[in-house]
Amino acid sequence: MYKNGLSYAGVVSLLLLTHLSMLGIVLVRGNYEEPKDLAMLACAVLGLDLVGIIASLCYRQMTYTLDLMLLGILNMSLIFQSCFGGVHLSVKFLITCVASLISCELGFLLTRNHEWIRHQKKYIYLVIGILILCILLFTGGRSMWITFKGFSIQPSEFIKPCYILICAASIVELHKKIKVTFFYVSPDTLCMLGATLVIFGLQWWCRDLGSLPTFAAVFGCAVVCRFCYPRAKISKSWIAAAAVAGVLVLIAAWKLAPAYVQERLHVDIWADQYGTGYQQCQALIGIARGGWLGMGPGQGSLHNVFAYESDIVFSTICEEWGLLYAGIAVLIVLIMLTTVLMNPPKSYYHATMTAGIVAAFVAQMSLNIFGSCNLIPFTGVTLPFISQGGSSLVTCGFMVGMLKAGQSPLFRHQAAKLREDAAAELPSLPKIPFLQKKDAPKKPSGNAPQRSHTHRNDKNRRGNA
Amino acid sequence: MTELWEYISGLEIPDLILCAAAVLILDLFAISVIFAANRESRLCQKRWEKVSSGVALRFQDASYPLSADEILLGRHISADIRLADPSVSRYHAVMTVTGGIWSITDLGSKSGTFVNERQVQHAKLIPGDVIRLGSVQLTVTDHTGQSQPRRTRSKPSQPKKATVKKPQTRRPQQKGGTKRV
Repeated sequence: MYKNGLSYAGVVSLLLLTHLSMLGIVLVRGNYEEPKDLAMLACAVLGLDLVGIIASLCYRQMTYTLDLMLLGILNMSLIFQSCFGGVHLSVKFLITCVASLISCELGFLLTRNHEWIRHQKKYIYLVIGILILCILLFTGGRSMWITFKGFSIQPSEFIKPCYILICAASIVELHKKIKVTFFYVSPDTLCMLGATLVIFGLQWWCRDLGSLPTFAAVFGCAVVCRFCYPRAKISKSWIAAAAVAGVLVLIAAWKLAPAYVQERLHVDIWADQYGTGYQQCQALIGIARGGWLGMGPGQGSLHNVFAYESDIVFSTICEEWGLLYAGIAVLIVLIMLTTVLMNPPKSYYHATMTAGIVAAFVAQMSLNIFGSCNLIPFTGVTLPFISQGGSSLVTCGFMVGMLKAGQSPLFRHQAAKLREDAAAELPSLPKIPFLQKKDAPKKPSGNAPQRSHTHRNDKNRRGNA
Repeated sequence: MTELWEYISGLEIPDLILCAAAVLILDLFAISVIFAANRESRLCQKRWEKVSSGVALRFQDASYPLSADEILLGRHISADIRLADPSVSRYHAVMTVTGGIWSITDLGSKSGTFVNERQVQHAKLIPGDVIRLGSVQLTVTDHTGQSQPRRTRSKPSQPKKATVKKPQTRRPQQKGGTKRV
């Protein structure tokens, strides 16, 4: 942080200026009854900014841009959400923003060590199993929501990061293969495929076909990363077989899709403006009504339409803030995802994880925005970071933490242990093994531990020196 | 253009100025983030050099920095450092780094992996070590490109260098010298 201080100071200043300019627009163009409402919103936004920035500064790490961008986007969303239908602070969204920032740090700490996470795979599978059981037992039928005393959570959202993690953690075990009938297969890949089938089956059964493309995108990235992973030794015939299988699955899904899905694929929203096409028609009218600069925060009318703050939130923002501002807000999210590509991950685990997360976000954003604009069938998924929804925001925060882990991975976790081993092997050798070895005594001490094959090699090499 | 001008002139000035300023600031924020991310990536690269001890592989006159925690050496097209020689297996050996120490592991190759002319299944590497895969000889060097010749020991039989084609996938001495996903 401190080596790059000037850049971060610029980002922080512009972050604060961005939020202040948005609050200025609310002040001049917003629809609020009392200045108190606006003052509360301003206090919440600037307070969250300051707390977030100070918390980031206190925690020393290699990358801060993702933290700052997450903070910026969440506060922008807080302003958007607080202005729908009139300016008032959305306390619920503020709480979920804080939860999202905390889960970001949690995701970072849990996933940065690829050696550790490799040994925790069984627990990740366990978490997925528990979440699936929760969906089956507590959602009350073919639904994805659990409602408890006024709170609704969507456990399927929490499956996303777990699924990405098992895709990433299993890639480094690909070279360990066992023979099943006539084929050599990796047990980890089999487990991952099993989990994929269960998750896809669950989505199909719960009729949550909006999330299915997101999981499919993650799975596609995991497959491509496996093809790129040299130690996997995947032959061209396997790649061709996978491509054919993918096409067959797509055709089967197309043919076997339920009737309501088939209808939605071919629906003409303008023919049924007050029926099945109502939401999309209103969303499109809202975008047109807003124009480039919008009608002003809280001045729109889309807040009367169902799911204005989640499924068609892009249209609602377009109506109130204008297409220009909504487009740039989405661009900021995309820039956050592309900054990850500027510093490519150094391990296949982090690369697979990063690719999966970026694919999930891009798929979800495309489904939401293009669905709202009637370019693809309307699926009803949330817009990451912007739509209201606690489960979605917390998951998004966790996934940004995973992205951060890919940028700031932990490779030195075993350094102390290795130094101890090296010290036991070469007693006079201290910290940096290869730099110090040339001054080492040729024979180790008599109380050296039992030598492994590797140690034998080292000994022989030293002996030859 | 006339319509656009009519549209703009129909707007109230404060609204237009405010919106333009807000959009401009948002754009500047995006640009500053890209700039900071670029600086960060350079710092991360330096950190990686520390983690990986700045080790590179020298093959003939070319040097290949090891820019991932796992580098496959082999004849296959997907290998990180491709050695197009028939004596090298398709998936010959893999180099990994842990805690700043590089090691090489043989992946069951036909012709074996040799470090300083001793056949190994797994061995730690230090600058100056000479790796031989089939008839291809590679030297481990540090970030300055210096190997330490005194680390190489007894004179082995000279490996066949003439049959080795230059690795095809990478350019030497470039930042992205080895393939990363």
